[in-house]
Amino acid sequence: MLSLYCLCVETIEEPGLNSDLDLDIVTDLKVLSKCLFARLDPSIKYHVKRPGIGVVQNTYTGFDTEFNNMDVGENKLVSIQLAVSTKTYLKIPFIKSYKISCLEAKTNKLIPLSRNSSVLNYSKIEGSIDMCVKRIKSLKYGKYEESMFILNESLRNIKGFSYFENDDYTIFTFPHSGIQTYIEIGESNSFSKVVRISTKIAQPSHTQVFNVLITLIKQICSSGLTLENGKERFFEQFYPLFNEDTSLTDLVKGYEKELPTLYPEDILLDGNKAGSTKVKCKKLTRL
Amino acid sequence: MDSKKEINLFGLIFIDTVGSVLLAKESFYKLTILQRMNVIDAVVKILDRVGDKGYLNSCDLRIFPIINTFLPAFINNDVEESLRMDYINGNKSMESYK
Repeated sequence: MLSLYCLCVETIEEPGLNSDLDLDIVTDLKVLSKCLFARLDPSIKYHVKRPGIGVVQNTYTGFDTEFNNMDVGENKLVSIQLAVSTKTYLKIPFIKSYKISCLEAKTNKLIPLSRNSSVLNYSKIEGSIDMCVKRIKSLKYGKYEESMFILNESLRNIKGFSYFENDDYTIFTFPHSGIQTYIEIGESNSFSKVVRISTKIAQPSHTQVFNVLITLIKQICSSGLTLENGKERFFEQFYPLFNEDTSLTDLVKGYEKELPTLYPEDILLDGNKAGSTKVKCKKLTRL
Repeated sequence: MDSKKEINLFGLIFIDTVGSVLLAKESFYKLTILQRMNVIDAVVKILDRVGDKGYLNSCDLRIFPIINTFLPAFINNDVEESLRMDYINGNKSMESYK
């Protein structure tokens, strides 16, 4: 079935097929290809799909309050203090070869199956499926896999980026941003407002890191690095960037650990001062 | 010993080597697009007939078309005949079918 799907994809991607004369045939082929894809084993479908890059931006908020004790069981709020910092994680998928497995529907993870038979040649089965999967992916996505591999290797070579691996991704972690403190004096405050304030404080840092990351990824992907010449060219092109005083060096080395304290008049929530009550709810910045 | 065999399926040639069984590109480039679609359709129909009840009505995989063509390619020849037959026509044939 996988070979038939491969044949279908190969025919669809064949140059010169998309002329008007072939429109009906192309449509039939596309329908056929979808039918064949639906019949594939879920574990094979999982490998045929193209995993994307993920950016996770977390906001960490430390929270404290001060009260005046007025009476037994009665406290009066004096102030709230926040300490906000951010951290960014970049998830780059790494490409694994096919192993006989089943896909767990609940977690969407591959569970390896037992392959301890002396009669069935499992490695040949896996080899055949893997080569077919690779062929389909190269037809559908071009050099996407190679780019992911180069990106993965390049980022591992940058000093300051720590990383760890899980089943499907290499996760690069970037240093915490500086701690931004905030004090508001007042008798009433709500938790949702505190969340909005910390989101607002974190937003510039998230935007800055995100922009730097996207620029870096674009630079690596468009710099013509290949599996053969990648490492030398990478060091030539990208190392000077990290030795100069740029936003990239900030990203790697981290930011100043503590920043000057902010007050309500420094923060605008949807055009209103943070102290105002007419503010709309905003989602936490998370990509 | 010749380690490369050819498996013919409706004009599509599969090359059976030590490490894999793969469709030979030349064999399908020779076919017109309509012929390719007909082959795919024919194979899908046959496979549907085999599994349309949701189970196999015989544990002898040699009676099922297409499966009997490809099964020998994935079975080791250097094991006892009785063990091999378990996977072709015996209590392990469902494992082979999967």
